[in-house]
Amino acid sequence: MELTAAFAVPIGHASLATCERLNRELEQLFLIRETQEYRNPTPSHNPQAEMFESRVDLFTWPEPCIQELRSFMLESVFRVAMASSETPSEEFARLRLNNHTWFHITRCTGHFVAHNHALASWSAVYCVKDGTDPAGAPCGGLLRLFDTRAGADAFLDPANQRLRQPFVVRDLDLQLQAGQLVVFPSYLFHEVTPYYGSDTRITVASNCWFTTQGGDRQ
Amino acid sequence: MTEESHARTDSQSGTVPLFATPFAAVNTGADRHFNERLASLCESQRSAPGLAGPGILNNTLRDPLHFQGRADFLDLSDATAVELKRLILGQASTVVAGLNSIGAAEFAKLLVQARGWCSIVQRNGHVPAQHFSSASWLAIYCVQAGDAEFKSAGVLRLYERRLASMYRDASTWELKSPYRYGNHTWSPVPGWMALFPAHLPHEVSVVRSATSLILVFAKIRFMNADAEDSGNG
Repeated sequence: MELTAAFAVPIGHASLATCERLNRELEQLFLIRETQEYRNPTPSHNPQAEMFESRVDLFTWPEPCIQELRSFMLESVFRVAMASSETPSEEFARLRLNNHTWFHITRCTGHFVAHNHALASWSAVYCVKDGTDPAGAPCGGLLRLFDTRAGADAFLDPANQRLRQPFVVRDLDLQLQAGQLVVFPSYLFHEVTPYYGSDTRITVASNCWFTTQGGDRQ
Repeated sequence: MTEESHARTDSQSGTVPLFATPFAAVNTGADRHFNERLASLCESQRSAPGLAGPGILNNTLRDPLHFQGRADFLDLSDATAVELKRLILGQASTVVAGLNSIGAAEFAKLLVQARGWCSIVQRNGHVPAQHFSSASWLAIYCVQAGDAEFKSAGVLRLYERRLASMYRDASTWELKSPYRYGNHTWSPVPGWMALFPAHLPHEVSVVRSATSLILVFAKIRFMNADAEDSGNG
């Protein structure tokens, strides 16, 4: 008998090996631009005082640190998307990758409600500063990716309570570390749980979609 | 186009919601004195050693500003807890019977089982995303709530899960209820109770008021009188 996984969700993980300098520059830049001028004027959810959300044009900024991050994030998205696709790599390489990208600065009790991103195919989150406690005390701020199979565990019996990977029905909680990038399909509902640290948690998020060269959204 | 003309159009076109999820918000009629007694009972659980539920003890990632009591709250012999159980199960039975196509007499023969616990959510605390197995309904009774001063704070939020929401155009971006996409929120009011399918993922968002939010959760299921109890509730 063969046991296979169906309906799988691709999740890409990458990390920037030497990220200290870049993250330091990004943090300084973001804190300087945590102003009304750079705030997202049309947020999709109720804004909170504890979380700053920038405009979505971050990757158009010319600063070298932004362009360095852009290369890392978009190349990673490209690689994840290509690895997940049956489209031949030479054909895939001709696609154009579009993005909306912004940064979040989260302070104590800031959070982001469950949502997904319509009209995008891939989403990515890069952690500039994790805001975790040096002593290891839990302080929330988890990126939670929700299992798409809502209701699949409504009936449990002794045989399906402890399903193993990749069959287990469970949300995926990620405590991002500085320099870590996660890429996932934009249809996945996700949230950021309340951050209870005394520092700041800084992330960059991107929504991406592909078009043919010179083409527009279909 | 006005709401009234929208309603007329719906009626004329024969449009009906398909695959709808029932959500009820019910005024149980409980008064302030009852809720004060209930709040005292919940607070006494928080201050008593050994009465915290597994959510607090076993998962350090859970919110330290959220106390979850043991799941025998509705089995306490305390008269206020007994009365609350009667209220919750009575209201739940009425709502669920109204959703069913089986007759009232048949429905009345069903046995109802429930497990309940209290939650005390302090300022800046929340109830993390959760849903429940082996129960059909979840009731959430509000014992105490602060001022509705902060928008979307301290609300029950039921999560949107329809992935068809991924393609949106100008015609689907602002659909009206019950067709709109997005999470559904309900602001708890003392004496009121929410009821919805237990499998639905939900949370209680961060409380911003100085007054703690106190809720009693109840997992509920109905059994045929002669059915064997599977015992995993």
